[in-house]
Amino acid sequence: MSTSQNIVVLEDNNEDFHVIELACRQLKRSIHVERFTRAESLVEMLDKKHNAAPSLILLDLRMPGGGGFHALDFLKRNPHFSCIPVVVMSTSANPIDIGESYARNANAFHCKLIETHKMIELVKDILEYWLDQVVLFRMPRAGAYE
Amino acid sequence: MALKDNASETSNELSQSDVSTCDREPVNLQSSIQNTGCLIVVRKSDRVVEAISANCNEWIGQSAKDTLSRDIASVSDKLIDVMDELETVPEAEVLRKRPVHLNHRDLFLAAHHLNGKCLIELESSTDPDHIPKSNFVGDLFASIDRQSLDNVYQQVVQRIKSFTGFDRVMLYQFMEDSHGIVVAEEKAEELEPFLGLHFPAGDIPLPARRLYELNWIRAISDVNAATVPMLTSESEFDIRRDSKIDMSFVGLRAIAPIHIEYLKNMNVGASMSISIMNGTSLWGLIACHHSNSRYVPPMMRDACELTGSLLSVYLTSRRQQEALQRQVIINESMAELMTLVASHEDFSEGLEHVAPSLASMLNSQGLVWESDANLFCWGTVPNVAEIERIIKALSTQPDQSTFSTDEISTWISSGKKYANRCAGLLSVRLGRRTGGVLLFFRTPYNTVINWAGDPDKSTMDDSGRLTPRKSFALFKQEVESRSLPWTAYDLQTAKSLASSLKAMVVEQATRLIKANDELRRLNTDLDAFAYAASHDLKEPLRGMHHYVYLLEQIDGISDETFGHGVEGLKRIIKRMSDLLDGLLRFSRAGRSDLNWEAFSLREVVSQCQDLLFGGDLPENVEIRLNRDGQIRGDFTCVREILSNLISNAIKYNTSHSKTIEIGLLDCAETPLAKFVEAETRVVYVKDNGIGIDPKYHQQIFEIFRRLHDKDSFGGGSGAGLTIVRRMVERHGGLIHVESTIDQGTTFFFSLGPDE
Repeated sequence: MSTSQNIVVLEDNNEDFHVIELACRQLKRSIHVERFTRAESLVEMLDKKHNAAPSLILLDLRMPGGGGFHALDFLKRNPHFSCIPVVVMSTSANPIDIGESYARNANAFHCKLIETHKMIELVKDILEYWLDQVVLFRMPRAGAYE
Repeated sequence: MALKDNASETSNELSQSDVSTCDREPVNLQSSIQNTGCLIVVRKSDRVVEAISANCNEWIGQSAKDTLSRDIASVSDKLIDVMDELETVPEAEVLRKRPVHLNHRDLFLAAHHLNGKCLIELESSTDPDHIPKSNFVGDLFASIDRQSLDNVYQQVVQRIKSFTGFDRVMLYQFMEDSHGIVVAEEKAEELEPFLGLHFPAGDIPLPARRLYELNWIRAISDVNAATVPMLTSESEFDIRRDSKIDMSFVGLRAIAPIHIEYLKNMNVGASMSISIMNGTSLWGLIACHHSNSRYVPPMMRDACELTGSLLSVYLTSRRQQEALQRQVIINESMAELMTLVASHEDFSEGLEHVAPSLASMLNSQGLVWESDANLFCWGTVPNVAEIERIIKALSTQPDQSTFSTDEISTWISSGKKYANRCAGLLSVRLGRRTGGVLLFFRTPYNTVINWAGDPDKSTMDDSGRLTPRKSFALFKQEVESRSLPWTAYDLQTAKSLASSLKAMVVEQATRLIKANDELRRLNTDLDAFAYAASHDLKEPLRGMHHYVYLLEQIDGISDETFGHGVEGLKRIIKRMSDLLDGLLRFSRAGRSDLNWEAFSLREVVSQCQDLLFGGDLPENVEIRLNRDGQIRGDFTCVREILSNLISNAIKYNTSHSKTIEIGLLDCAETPLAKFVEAETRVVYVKDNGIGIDPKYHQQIFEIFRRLHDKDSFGGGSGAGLTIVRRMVERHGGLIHVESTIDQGTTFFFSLGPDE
């Protein structure tokens, strides 16, 4: 794919977000990253612009406010966004969190890694996989058959 | 001693062993009377004399021939009034002694009717030596007022002795199992004491007992005197063919030969017994003995009889009073004990603390408490195996909270082995199946019997079979494997004990459930805390690593110190991260619930390999499964245990080809043999690594304890073996290490007892 793609990242930690930016940069492709540090503002934005659906959403779980689960619930329960792949990235390997994420229909769960270069590689893998390789079901846009 | 009164005339055989025979003999159908009076039997319907004692001439001045089959009026018109009066009184009610002048003599007359016959007894009314002068009964009761029961007993026998002039007066009490004890005695000095003697129930057969219940008093004035036969119109000289006269209420009734034999053996010439009743059943007897003949005149007998009936009422009320007091005391001490038990966190521990008081409350010498988790014994009890047997037998008993036997060997056959120590058992069950059971044991009777006299100094004729000593010996034999019977009070006490303890167990269980809930909640909290902590602590670590990374990315810095610093930072960050992981794993190792199942060692080892190496073993590593077999445990835990041991075996190994041997052993072949049960299977993991110095064999299991440099042998948090031990111990197992430096290490672990 060569066209520019939008991804949305929910991440309150600057260093972790920087890793994602580094990964995008290293991929040398045009990825537009929109960052939110609170789930509430992400939900608010998407609620306003139904047509601005991103290609991929990366969620951190634990952060001030409703956190990743709040965003996840909103996304998966809303028919406009339920087909967008959501990848949870958390430091927690708590099986309860993992189970909970999948139960709320997250598409994948990853543990954050300590070592930055490994973390960059991981994010690059995630981006390439979900942006290029996975075949997704796209809801026909409203008005496409009009 | 009046132990053998009233056995039937026909009961001539002296066999003591066959009590049941004695019990069947009709001792009330007599055909002769004592020679101290005269008996006239008149048919009630037509007032014709049916029978008369052979000595009638002596008393009424007429021969039997002249009186039998005649109207009573023709015998003496003085008896007509009595016959009239008998019409007005109920059957068996004796018209009390009244003076009557017959045949120029002053006589006493007593009469009653039974089965259509009127029985008229005549006795001499004057006996100058024995006319009671004082107010005997009044004085007696004045003297026993407000005394302890023991003193009451003693006062009674003392006063009756001085009043009647008998050589020996005893108070004989029947126990719950019908055997008797002499509880008070007053005697002439030269006589052997009987105080404290016990007698088998069979010494006073049931029919005799029945007569004691019907009559307040029974006197035998001369055991050597010939009895006087009753004559009837049908056959003057042989009464035996005739239907016998029911003499149940006749005071002059003759003595059974068996009883005479008994009295003679004791050198007793005369005796008198006064019944002490408890409601309608016989509680005891006041037994009076005299070495020569002794006639107790009617007035004196009346006084004794009155004493007997008043004493019965008095003692009954005293016993009720004492029972109440006893109940109050028991309730108080029970409440006190329960408070003590409750003051212990652990119920069993509390019970153990009060064991001696509990045992004494039920007058027992041994106590066992058994519940799922506890078994403790106090005092004289059977061994543990026998206790288990008893508990098993109890579980087949009908559902009841208490059970008791005073002869354990008749209840459980293995009881014979220890009946000489523990003869009586009372069990108190708390709850149906769980909740535990209390066993109270009583030592055999003969260990608690007090014997006042010296058995070797018996002055009596022991050639006959019937003597108090022999009776006592027989009793001792009977109770060799029996304990003091459990009384109604004991059972009452046991029941209230059961309900108090049950309430406490329920309360404890509720408390336990609460505590468990609390614990479960805390556990969840702790789990969440551990994850959150590791999350929050790792975040700054990641940040640090991130900036180190950025520094590394700067071009053009080739300073050695810089590079060294960056490397050092990265290493420390990695170690910190490992430690956090280890802490998290350790915190979880002890808490998650075990899911027990059976699986083969091969299965779990192969999963370990997959986890550790993704299926492909490193080239220089070989894992050999030596002896496969089934093990029981939580699969995930066992996998974690083995993974840790395998990865250690590889990590701490400098050999070119690293070999790990894993297998199952019988416990006896391992160093664990002396710690665990023989059937337990033991898993071992053996390597050819660097070995562990024996002085560190305990330390290796401590958390974050590393024997080597932090960074040698691939680092690691130092939590691995701690986790291993924790998981083994959670399975109820043990872990042990054997090692030789530079040759290798073997870990042995068990997973608790096989189900």
